[in-house]
Parts: sequence; structure tokens; C-alpha cells
Amino acid sequence: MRDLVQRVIDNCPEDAHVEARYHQRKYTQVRMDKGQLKQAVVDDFAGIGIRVLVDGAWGYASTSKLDAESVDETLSNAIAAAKSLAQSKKEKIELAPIKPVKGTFRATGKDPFENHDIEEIISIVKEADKIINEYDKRISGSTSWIREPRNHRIIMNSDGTDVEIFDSRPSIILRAVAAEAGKIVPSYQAYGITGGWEMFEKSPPTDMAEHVAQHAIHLLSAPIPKGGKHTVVLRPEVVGIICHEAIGHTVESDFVMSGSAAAGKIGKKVASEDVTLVDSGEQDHAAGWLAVDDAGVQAKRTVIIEKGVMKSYLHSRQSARHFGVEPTGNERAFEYNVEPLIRMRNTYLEPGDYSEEEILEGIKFGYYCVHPGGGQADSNAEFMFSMVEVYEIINGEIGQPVRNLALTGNAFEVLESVDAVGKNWELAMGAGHCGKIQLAKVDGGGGTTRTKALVSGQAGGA
Amino acid sequence: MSDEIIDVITPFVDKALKMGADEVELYAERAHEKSANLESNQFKSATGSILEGVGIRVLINHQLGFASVNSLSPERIEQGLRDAISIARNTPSIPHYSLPSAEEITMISGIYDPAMDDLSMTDVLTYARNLLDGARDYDSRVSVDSGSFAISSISQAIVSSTGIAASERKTRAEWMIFGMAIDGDDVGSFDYDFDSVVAVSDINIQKTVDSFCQKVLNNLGAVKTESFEGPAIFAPEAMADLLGVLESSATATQVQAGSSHLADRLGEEIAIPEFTLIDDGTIKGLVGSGSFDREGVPHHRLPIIQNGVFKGILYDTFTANKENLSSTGHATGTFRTAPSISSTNLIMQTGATSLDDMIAEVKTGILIPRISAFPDSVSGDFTGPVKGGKLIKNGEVTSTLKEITITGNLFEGIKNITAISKEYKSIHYQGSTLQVPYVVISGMKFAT
Repeated sequence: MRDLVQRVIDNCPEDAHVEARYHQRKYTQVRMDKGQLKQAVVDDFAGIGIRVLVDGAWGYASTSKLDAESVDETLSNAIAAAKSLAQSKKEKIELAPIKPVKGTFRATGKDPFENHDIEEIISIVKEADKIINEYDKRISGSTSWIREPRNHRIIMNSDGTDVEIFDSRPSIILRAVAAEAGKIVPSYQAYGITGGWEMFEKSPPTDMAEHVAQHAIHLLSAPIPKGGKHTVVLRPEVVGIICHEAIGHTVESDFVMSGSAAAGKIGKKVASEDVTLVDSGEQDHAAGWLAVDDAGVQAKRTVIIEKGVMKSYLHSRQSARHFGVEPTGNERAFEYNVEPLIRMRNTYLEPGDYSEEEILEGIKFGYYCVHPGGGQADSNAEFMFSMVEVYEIINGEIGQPVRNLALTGNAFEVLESVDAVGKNWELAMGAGHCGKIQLAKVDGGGGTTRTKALVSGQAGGA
Repeated sequence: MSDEIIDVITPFVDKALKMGADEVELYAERAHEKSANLESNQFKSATGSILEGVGIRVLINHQLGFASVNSLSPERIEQGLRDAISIARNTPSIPHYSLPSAEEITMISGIYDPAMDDLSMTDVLTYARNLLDGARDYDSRVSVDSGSFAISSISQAIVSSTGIAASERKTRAEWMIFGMAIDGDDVGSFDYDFDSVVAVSDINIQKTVDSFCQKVLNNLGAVKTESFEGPAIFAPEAMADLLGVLESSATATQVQAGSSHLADRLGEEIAIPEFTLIDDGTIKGLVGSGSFDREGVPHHRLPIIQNGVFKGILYDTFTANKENLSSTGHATGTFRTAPSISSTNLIMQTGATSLDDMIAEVKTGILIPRISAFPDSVSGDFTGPVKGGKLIKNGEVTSTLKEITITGNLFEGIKNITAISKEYKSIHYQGSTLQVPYVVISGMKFAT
């Protein structure tokens, strides 16, 4: 396969920039619904994607036919697409220089999934699903998934990058549904890493199953929250979502160039001094691990906010050239047939000095946010994320759970209100995907954090 | 061209049976696509691609295996077949699981336009240029963060050991524009618009540009207001997101998994009598239409809610077999996924009130173009910030709002609808259509 990728580099005209990427994504999924196997699937998706920059315009083409003739034709198609675009394009794209990267990078874990067959995966799903269904007679249903995408990439470009990367990013997602007297409520638990079978030791599925079933039962009698501005204490996976949704998207430089709320904020104070926010591909156990991006750029640790002051955006080579900085290695493509976009990796708050007891102490009323659902960013810095597991805080103690809560607010105001960050640092939101045009595995976290945000719910509940 | 791909997969039926499968289904797709992509107010790239592959479902002693390969080469298909058989030998037996038997398929028209195949990359770039320049020229405050214009020509074919052999061709043009308006320090909430059509003559970029620009400009100058409880007028896009909950709850998958609010409610009145929701995958000319579903069963028109009464559950063959019923033709998915269940073209019936009269009736309420929320498909709960919401006071639309959240429950909401508009919008995207009017629901909780 290396020969075919090398062939693209060798055959590309000298006046063009080229990136060639072989990517096989082999994806296994097992799903069980209420004790019955619903899916056991393997999706093998492999091919070569070629991106060329000709006359200041990008052209992209891809092929799943892995022979010399098809690869040559695909390169011609990419060049033809770029030339057509160059004719109607007013602005010419230029790229920031990079140092080429070479080597093999691997993150498949201590006990890779390839050592285990699908039967073993099915038995774990089955056991978790059984625990949920037998937990209480009010449990009306369940759905349990294990997903394991396994990636093999060979990335080369005309600057001399030549790397081979292997990774596996498994996740487990459990849903319990409780029903009583015409009311029906679900609860979810999810966990994901970059790595192997050790995922099940880090977060035992049987514990997750018991917890999700118990929480669904509790939600049957949970009230909706008191709407309004409240003190909120965010556990690491919720901190991850806030880093990703509230700040991360606004500092993706394509969004900055369109005029997002982070435009013009470099060097300015945008958060409290407790906030140091980083996006990094370094942590090879976390779902956003990235050694080299899909444009062939080494993935760096990027400090976005340092002690409250905005330091950097997240860049492609194109945006780095525009802003006169070095590329940060944030260009990622989900599969071979799509071109790279600016995406986050592991996005987190650096740890602080507080214990969780100290963070909760003295809060008369607030919300303790444990497990997030989906989130969304906005150009005006108004973020939202929904909460799957959240409890009231009354006089410094954790109280009853509430349901149907979303946190929102202006990201910079919420970060300015941060007054405590915990020392219990972890990356903990690796089960899901970010969905900006294409999917991307990302992770995020930090230490438990205290701030103020707008809580949805009952009108006049503040 | 579809005949060509059906010829590629047909020999593998016998091969699979010889290899030990009791039943086998092969579903193949080949899509030629050209697209032009926009980013940060300029062209980003032009792309051309061919995507093809086969999804293979096998049963051995009612044990299920599924594998897919993104290739139509005999070697890769055979490897996929071996993978599917190997999975099936290692999975537990699923009683009732069998593949559908062949039904007569009436081929529907209006889903393929040969003129789409004739469009060149230059044509595609011209449409994308009209999208970008149209928005930039509409108002200098409009900023285009991203967008795309793409055409595709798709061949689909399915064969099975139960006698199914069908193929068809489809065409589609799809475009999307995403961005915001910026006026000095005032950065408005982002918004987007999109459309999708089968025929070249139906491509109308200007309509999308006008709608997108009006939305993002509306989001400028937003102000805060106080918390209150009152009526909301859901615009078609906002209502469409909530209808997704009803659709999921009406799938046999969710009903049989004990995860649907609608389980055991067939025949019950669940909404006001004026509420009717129909799924119909046989309507000519819509991107969600086709002659057969993902497992070769013809699509049918299915009333889901008729005059407020829950009438129809969406089935595929497996879930229908479980209840001794017939599939309603709602198996869906690509070659990369085992069939699952979803709607095709969802039509919510319009009402008698005009939008102007709706607004005039509201004392204090909000007109909601979009909600940033993830409605829960089990409980029907939804909550999140309202985007571009317009405050209505004494029947007059006043200011645009920011930092205000809405909280409600869809299943409660459809019992509390006070008006449905005559006006509606057809929303076409990613192979499905939703036709939705404006809807007034009382008792929404707005918090600030």
C-alpha cells in the first residue's frame, strides 16, 4: 500500500502541492435491545484520498480501487477539480511551511481489540444488558452498544511527511429506560478511549449498567430544574464539553476567519485567571489522540487560553499562513473519501488546586453536573449542552436528581465566572463524536470546575 | 448502470448458500458525486468521487451476520461474505429473523433526471458561486462560514436468496449554506439553510440564499427578556426537529425495545384532532422517495397519527415477523449499515389559521425559528436555548431574543396545540423530506 501512496507523490506535477492518504477504517458494532441481539456488524471502509493545491485552489478526489491505474486517475481528477476551481476563484490559497514528519505511530492499547473475537464483545454487551433489565421491574427497556473503529493510515505529502498510524477507539454506550404510570424516561452512560480491551477495566460495564438502571429509576420522580442563573459544579466530562463547545469551536480558525466571537481576541483577557485551556493530541489513552494530522503536520499541544488570556487559535496550514503563525496540527478527515477540516483533539482545562469538597462548600443552591448529553456552539459564543445526569446542590451537599436540564450562556462570561478548578484531572468524554460537517473522535476534560451559567427549566425558578 | 451492479452481486447468492448460509441478501450502491465547498467566505475546494460498495446480510440457523465492503470487486465482496458468515456463526440465534420474500414492486417515476448526469464540474462551481455571491451581495453584514453544492447520481441494487432482485437509479442535487450576520461588535447567532432536489430544473439557489440571509439578519440586535410561561409558535424547522421524536417513538425497534412512549397506545388519542402525520415514500419527485426500501420491500403510504389518533407503527421485516405482521417498507440504511427503520417523506397536515392570525392571537409568546436542543426520543422532553426567537407582545412581533431557554415535552405539547397554520415549508435534506406547518403550543416554560 505504501507504494501506491508514494506513487501519488512521485507522479504529482512539481508546481502542485499534494497530500496522499491511505485510510482503512474497520468498524465493529454490537447492539442489543432488551436482551435480544440487534446488530453484529463489521464495516470495512478503505481507500486513498488525494488533495492537491494547484494555482491556489484545492482539488480533492478519492478511490476505493487500490491499483496503480485507479490511483493515477484519481490524482488526475483531483488536479482537474483544482484547475476548474482556480479559474473561478478570486483568492489564492497559500500554505504555511512545515517540518516533515516520519515514523510509525501506534495507539491500539495494552490488549488490542484484534486479540478478541466478536463473541467476546457480544458476551460483554449481553451481561450489561441483562443487569439493566433485571435491576427493577420498572425498567421497561434497554439498549446496549459496543463500537470499535480501528484505523490504519499512511499519510505522505510533497513536503516529505511519510507516516504510518494505527489506532483503535472503542466505546461502550448503555441506555436504560424506566416507565411507571404513563411516564417514560431514559438514562445513558457512555465511556470511550483510544486503546484496547483495558477500556473494560477502566470503566467496568457491569458497574455502568447498574448505575444507569438506578439513575433511570430515580428520574421517574425527578423534577425539572429551576430555570435561571445558578452556581454549577461541573464534573470532568462536563468540563470537557464546555471546553469543546463553548470555547473550542469559536477558536477553530475557519470559524474565526468567518467572524466568530473569538475573532480579534488574541492577547486579550477572556476568562478568569483559573482558566488555562489546552487542545492537544498528546494523550494516547484519550479518544482525541493525534500524532500527525491528515495533512501530514505534527500534532502539537496548543495552549488556547493561558491564565485567562487568549493565546492561540486552532490552525490548518492555510489558516496558519493567513494569521502568520505555525500550523497546530488540527486538520483531520474522518474517512479516506473526505478532505481534512480544522477539528479539535483532546480539549481540556489544566488542573487547579481545589478538592471537590472545597468546591462544593458554601454553595447554598446550585447544580452538580455529572454526565453530559449533546452540545452545540454558536458564533456569538452562546453555547449549550444538555445534561443526562445532574443533581441539586443544597447547602454544599448533593441532593436529588433533576431531569431535562440544559446549560447555556455566553462562553466568555461563564469562563470569567470560574472561581475554582479541581485537582482531580481526567479526560472523560471519549464516547461520542464531534459532528462538524464530518464526524471526528474527540475527548475533553479537566478538574471539577465551579462557575455560573444559565440553567433551563421552570420559568422564574432562580 | 444499476443493471450492471446487480450483475456483479447476483452470483454471490449461490456462492453464499454453498458456503453454508441459510439466507443471504446483498445490497449494492454506486454513487458518482461532484461537489464544490465553501469556507470562510470563499471557495475551499472542488471534489469528485465515486463511492461504491456492498452490504451483506446472512442468516445461519437464525443467527445474524452483517459485513460491508466499499468495493464492487469480486475479491472484496467474497471477503465480506466470509466476514458476515463468520459473524453469523458466532452470534446468538434470533427467533423470527428471516429475510423478506419477494413482493411485486411498482417502479415509481420522478426520482431520476438524466440531465443531472450531464452537469460538469464547471456547472457545479457556478451553482456554488451563486450560493456564495448571492449571500454576500444580499447584505454586506452576512458572513458565510461554510457551504456546499453537490450533485450525485446513485445506482442501487438488491438481490437475495428469497427471490428479491431489484434495482433503480436516483439523482440528487444538494446544497447547504451556514453562517451568521456581523454588525460591528454584534455577532449574531449562526443559522443555515439547505435544499435538495431530484431534477436540474428544480434547482433554486436564490430561494435558499434569501431564506438564509433573512434568518441570519434577523438574529442581529438580540436582547434579553424576563422568564415567563406562555405559548410558542414553532416555525417549520423547529417543529421538524420535534417531529423526529414522534417518528422514533413510532418505529417498531423502539416500541419492541420497551423504549417508546407510544408502546401499547395504538388506537389511542394522543394529540388534538387536527393533528395528522403521514409517511409516504411513494410521492413522485421527492428525494425521500423510491420504489423499494433497504431490504427490497416496496414503500407504502402509512398514516402514523390520523386526526390525533396513533394509527401506525413503522416496521421492517424482522420487527414485523415478531408480531406476525407485514413490513411497512420502512427499512433504511446504506450499504455500510445493516437495515434499520426510519421514515421516508413525513407530511404533517396543514391547518386553517394563517401565520398572521396566529401571531395576532398571542398576548405574550415567542416565535421560534430554531431551538438548540437534543429532544429526547424516549421521554419527548426537550430543552435548550431558543435561537433567533422573536418576542410577540399583544399580537405584534417585537425584538429578537438571546440567552433564553425553552423547556417542554413533545407528547404533552401535541395535546396542547392551539393552532396549525395554512402555510408550510417542505424541508428536503439527506434523502428525506419533511412537510411541516407553523404550530402554536401553549404552556412552554421560558427561562432567562
